[in-house]
Amino acid sequence: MLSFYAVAQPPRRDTRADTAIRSVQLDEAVVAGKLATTLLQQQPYAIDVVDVGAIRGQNAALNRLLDRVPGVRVRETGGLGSDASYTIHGLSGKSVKFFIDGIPAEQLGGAFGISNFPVNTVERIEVYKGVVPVHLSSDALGGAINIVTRQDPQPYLDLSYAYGSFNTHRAAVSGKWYHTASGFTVQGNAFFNRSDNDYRVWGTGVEVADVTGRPIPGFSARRFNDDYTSYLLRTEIGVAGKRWADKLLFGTSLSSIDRGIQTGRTMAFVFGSVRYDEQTVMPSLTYAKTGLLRGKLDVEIYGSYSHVEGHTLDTSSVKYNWEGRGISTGVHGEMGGIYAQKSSYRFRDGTALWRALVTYRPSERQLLRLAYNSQALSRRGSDALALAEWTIPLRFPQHLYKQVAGVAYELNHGPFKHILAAKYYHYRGRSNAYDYVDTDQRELIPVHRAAQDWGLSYAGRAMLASGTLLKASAEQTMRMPDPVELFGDGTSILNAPGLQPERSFNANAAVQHHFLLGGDMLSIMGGLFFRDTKDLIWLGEGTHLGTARYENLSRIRTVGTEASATYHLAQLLEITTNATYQDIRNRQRYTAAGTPNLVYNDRLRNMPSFLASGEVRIKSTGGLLDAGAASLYLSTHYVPEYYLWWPSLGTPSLKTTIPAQFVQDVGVSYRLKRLPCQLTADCHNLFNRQVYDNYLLQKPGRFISMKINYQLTSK
Amino acid sequence: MIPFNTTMQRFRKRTAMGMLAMTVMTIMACTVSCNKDDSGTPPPASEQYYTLAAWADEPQYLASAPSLTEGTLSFVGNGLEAEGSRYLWHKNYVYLMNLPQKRFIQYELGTDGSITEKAYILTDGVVPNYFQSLNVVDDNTLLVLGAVDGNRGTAGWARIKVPEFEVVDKGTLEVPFDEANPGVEFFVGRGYADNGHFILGGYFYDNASGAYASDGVKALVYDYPAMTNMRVIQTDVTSGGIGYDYLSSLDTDEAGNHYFVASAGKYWTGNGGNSGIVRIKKGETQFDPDYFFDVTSQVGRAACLMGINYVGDGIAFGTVQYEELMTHVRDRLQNVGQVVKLDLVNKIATVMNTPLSPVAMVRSPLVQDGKYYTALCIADGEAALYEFDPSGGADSFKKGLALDAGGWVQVQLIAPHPAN
Repeated sequence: MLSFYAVAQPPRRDTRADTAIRSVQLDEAVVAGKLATTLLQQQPYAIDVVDVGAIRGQNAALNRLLDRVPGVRVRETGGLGSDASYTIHGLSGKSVKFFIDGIPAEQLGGAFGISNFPVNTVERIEVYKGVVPVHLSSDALGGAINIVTRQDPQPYLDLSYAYGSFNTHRAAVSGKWYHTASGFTVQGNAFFNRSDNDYRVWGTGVEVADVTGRPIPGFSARRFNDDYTSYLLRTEIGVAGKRWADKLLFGTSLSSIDRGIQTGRTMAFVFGSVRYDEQTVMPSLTYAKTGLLRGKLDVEIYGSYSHVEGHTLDTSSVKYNWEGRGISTGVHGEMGGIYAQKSSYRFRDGTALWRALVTYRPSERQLLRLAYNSQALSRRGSDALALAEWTIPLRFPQHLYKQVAGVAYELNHGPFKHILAAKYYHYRGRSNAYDYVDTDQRELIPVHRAAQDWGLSYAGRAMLASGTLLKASAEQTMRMPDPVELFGDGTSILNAPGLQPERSFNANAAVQHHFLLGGDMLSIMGGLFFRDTKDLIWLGEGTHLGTARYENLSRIRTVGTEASATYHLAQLLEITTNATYQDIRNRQRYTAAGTPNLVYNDRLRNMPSFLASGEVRIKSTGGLLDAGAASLYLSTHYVPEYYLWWPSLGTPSLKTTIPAQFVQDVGVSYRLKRLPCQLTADCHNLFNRQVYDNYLLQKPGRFISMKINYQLTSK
Repeated sequence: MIPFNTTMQRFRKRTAMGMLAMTVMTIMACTVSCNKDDSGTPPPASEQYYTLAAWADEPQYLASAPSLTEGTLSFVGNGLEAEGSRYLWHKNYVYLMNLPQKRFIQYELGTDGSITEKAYILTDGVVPNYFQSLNVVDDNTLLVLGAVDGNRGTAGWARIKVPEFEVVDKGTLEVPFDEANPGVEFFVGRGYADNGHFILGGYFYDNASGAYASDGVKALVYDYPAMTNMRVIQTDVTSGGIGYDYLSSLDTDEAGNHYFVASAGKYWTGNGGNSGIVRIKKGETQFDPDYFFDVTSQVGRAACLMGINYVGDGIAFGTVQYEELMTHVRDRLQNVGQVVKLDLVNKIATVMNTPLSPVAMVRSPLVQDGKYYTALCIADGEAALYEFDPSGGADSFKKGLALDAGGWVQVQLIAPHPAN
């Protein structure tokens, strides 16, 4: 359930004493956050926790925080609001599921995109690598990312505004208020994001010809149709703290996206006026009660219905180049290359989601958890112009129904903890293909798909007397195609009706230890991971029309290792570093036709094998102004160059690569003592490097921003 | 004795410095994951090398081999990556239309077997998408054409001076378009310049019905070099498109007469009629009314002629795909094609006894020293180049250079390097 919060109560006149109390409370919240983080990291799962509460003042996008987690790779196609894909231990795309407070985020619409979330609305991010706990009852394959929103027990109000390069504005407000006697609760959240995203791009794909047809040397351009605006308004009203319900909340979400589509699958396909907008309305109901049956039973039920309406508009009669100048007139749309046709494609998704979670504790050492998740999506498409061939299969109804049921048994036995779980997956989908059957003409073909399977998992932990923590986990799991994978995105991703579910055996092992050195602490972690994945779903490379579609890769195997270390020097200095090495191989020995596969055992193309990041943070409790607290951080992120195509084919020195990324961020924040206010300045990509996560899709250069965050918390 | 506090401070300092060093070293130590070994195995010495372009998985690769008649060529650790579907070989260069980058690239073929990218031209200055039709109009000039918005009455063209590889002239040209029937588009094909005219092939496709729209055989005649004054010429010997843009569908004999492949198959630019060859005599701007080489009737099995390469003395080799073996156009990449010897003078077609393969999709075979070379890449089977001798019969061919591509390879181009 989302916990975004409306205005609490009028701010009272500040006094030094009140401010001090609030400061203490804030510190307590930070400590509580750290405690929750520590407890989670001691779970048997391969889990990393980002304690966002501790860096709430930063103007950091959640994507960047995730990108610093060992074994996690975030790949963005551009600036604010751009598409992003996430990789955990070599499994990527929709294999990695997102949850917001345990609710699958996929039905919430694009405005709920992870990069949109203001950090000051988030408590922590839980990254499950491999085995996903039953209470996140979905069909995640490579891991799950659960964003836990603020769970402040007391009423509060949090306001923030940030302004940055490329005319980027980010404003957020969240709050919570309740009436102690009646339990009446109002909580809400709203945010607004806007950016021109007009950052400079250059190089391959961003070229303009001179009179001889040759590229003009040194040409660079600003993106000119990449603006992005989104907002979200979320409220929940109900009661809390009653005998019959810990909470019963009715929620409503409204969100909207409006953005330009600047390019196709590479920057060589530049669009000057293609637009996409999306609106989402989602009512929801949350009920939770703990402590039933003499404190042994907890029940949580969530239901929602979301209506998402997306619209792609491509009606230009002009084709543009990177100067923003029309180079051809009288054309019929920009997308679709040579087969371009004007389109005004609109889709309407209706998604009903139910989730039930029951937790039973027969004894202090045992726990039984049952979870059920059902999701039914129906998509209807239309095209007012009905000219573009690519929209033909999308104009007709498509359906997707998924359900996941799980049961888990937990046993605590001295220093040991075991979790054994089973999940049942069922999926049924209907989509449309526009293709040849037995004739010389293409026709609309309804494609029905259904699958079901069982998954099993085990996760164990041992806490040795020395304080060393040992973990091991393994699972056999399955993931069903997502709506975007099956139906496309209405812009550059086409539908893929033939997609099969992907299956994987995942295993992790890790060791953690904390060294206490006087007032300092050194924490180290080392881990191994293994994945054996069949029918991996991944986004194929773009076609010459600038579009792409998801496809199955029959078998890959991943073996990797990761290590991280954190050093706290008293309360003044914190240094963190991590590195991940992953060896991902194509294990399809024979092609579908039974012939030897030329790229058998080749490293997976378009996937890095090494990731590393580090951060140094210096804190000061006594500042120059107002004697507040200040902190300074410097972080760096490194991904070496990797090949776009299969590494074994072609002359190595002449192969197409995604260049190495070595990016530094720096920031300083200052928390005033007299006011519950924090000021932050950040600079991302300090040295303005040309960076890519995807082939020929350049990301923004140096991004400077300022943020002010105002927090009021009731005693 | 060093005080404990001092020891701890040193330890803290060292640990902190160690962590910093670890961060830096971790990052610095892992500078390269793509092990860029550019040493590559040089091809063995040869008097003449040949470049092959082929799909091997994705994308496509350009690599050279020292012989067409022996040895094995592999793309493992060998070759340039390319993404394109339009190739042209002319003199010592291969030209490639790279679609994702929208670049028309010039590669120089070296006597030592090297393939070097020399320059590229951006399509955006000429057409919004890509050059669809690549033509040699004289020794020093290429003429490229591409669609402007699906060829709704207009296509773009550019004349490129070679080997300098610079656009010297460009513009648009008119192509057939009927406002009353806007779903029918004309797709530009191959063409040639002769006697002050440029004669262009192509085909019509009806988007509304999702089928080829053929009514006789048509070519477009323009004043050259102006590329104006379009006239449509027509013959009704069959009904289909001619000079398909990316296949070897146009050639010229010693007398300067021009032969277009007329594909009338229902899966290839026609409606299921007979396919064959039409002729335009040297210097003329009309189809030769007395000439139609009906290949389908002689070969049978609903054979659709796809390409020809003139060898000499009235003999050409061509490729057919048997539409009897196909259920839709995607089957062209299955084993449905065969090589045919074509006696253009006597209009006699001889089916060569080669195994069935997607040979009709080899876009640019080679004629050299009176022999014809193409690739038989049997779907799910072995792949090799074959040499065909026009002086013999249906068995007059031999297997040559093998392609090690792990079960799936599609050769697009065979081009000779300059000889040592």
